Amino acid sequence: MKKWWWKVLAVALLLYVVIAGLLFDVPRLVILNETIRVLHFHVPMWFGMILLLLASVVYAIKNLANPSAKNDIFSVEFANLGTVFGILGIVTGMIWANFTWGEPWSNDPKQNASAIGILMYLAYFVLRGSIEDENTKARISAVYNIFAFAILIPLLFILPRLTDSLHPGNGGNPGFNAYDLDSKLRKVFYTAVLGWTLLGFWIATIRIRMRMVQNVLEK
Amino acid sequence: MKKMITACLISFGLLLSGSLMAQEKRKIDDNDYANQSVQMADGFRAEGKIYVVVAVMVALLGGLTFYVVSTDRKVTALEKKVEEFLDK
Repeated sequence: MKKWWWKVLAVALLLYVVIAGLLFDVPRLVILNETIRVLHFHVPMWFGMILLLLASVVYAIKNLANPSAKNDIFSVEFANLGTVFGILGIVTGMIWANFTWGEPWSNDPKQNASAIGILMYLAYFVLRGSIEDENTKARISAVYNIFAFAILIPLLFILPRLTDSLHPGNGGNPGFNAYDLDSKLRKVFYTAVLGWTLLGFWIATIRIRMRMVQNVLEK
Repeated sequence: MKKMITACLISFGLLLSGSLMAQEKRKIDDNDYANQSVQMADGFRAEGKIYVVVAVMVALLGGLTFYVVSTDRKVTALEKKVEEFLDK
């Protein structure tokens, strides 16, 4: 394992998150009760997803400027892990929502938007699978990737804020949104975001390296 | 790789600063931590059963880490093999 320090860091942070996330004192809030701890596991999935998809779009742009198999592999594998994080985010969110909002899917704007976002990225993989020629595949999917990311950002961060949403920071609802995280929660939460994101990048780089080896072997 | 990690750290910082500029919200204070009228899993914790949950989750994390590390090592071994092959 080359350059392993950040991988050790990822595991150490996650260990801290699991222990502190379950054991530390949390504010006793109505509706949320003990499930406030899900904050350290559900929300980092979205942070991780955005950062992975950002890395993916960066390599998509690089690939258009400087076409290479390497840039294409980086782009597609980051998108892959980003999608996995997104799906985990939706599933964990539905479990949490079932308890706090009364039903797993309440057609909350942010829920719908994230579902659309995931579908857009699933379409990215379908698009890639449907093109035979490697160069065309790399170019067309890179362009699609840029558009998908450009639509994802307003979908997740702007549109839900324009309307009433059950999610924090969007409209008025007695859930989490009325509260501002305090320093005690933040300490664990930011560690969780960094830890989960690093884990995502670790797994993505393993897959990238696997694909690079495969690429060399095919030549 | 180094560039990538730097980029990650920078974007992480940007996300942080974004979340700090959030709308007006009620601050969570010490009263929320002491609010006994909200039901929490106090009995569960008092009996020490929460440690069972912690142990399960730590075991899961440990097992998955072991698996990811061993996969990482396998890929490293493959990379070495390919390099040796190309050198010949």
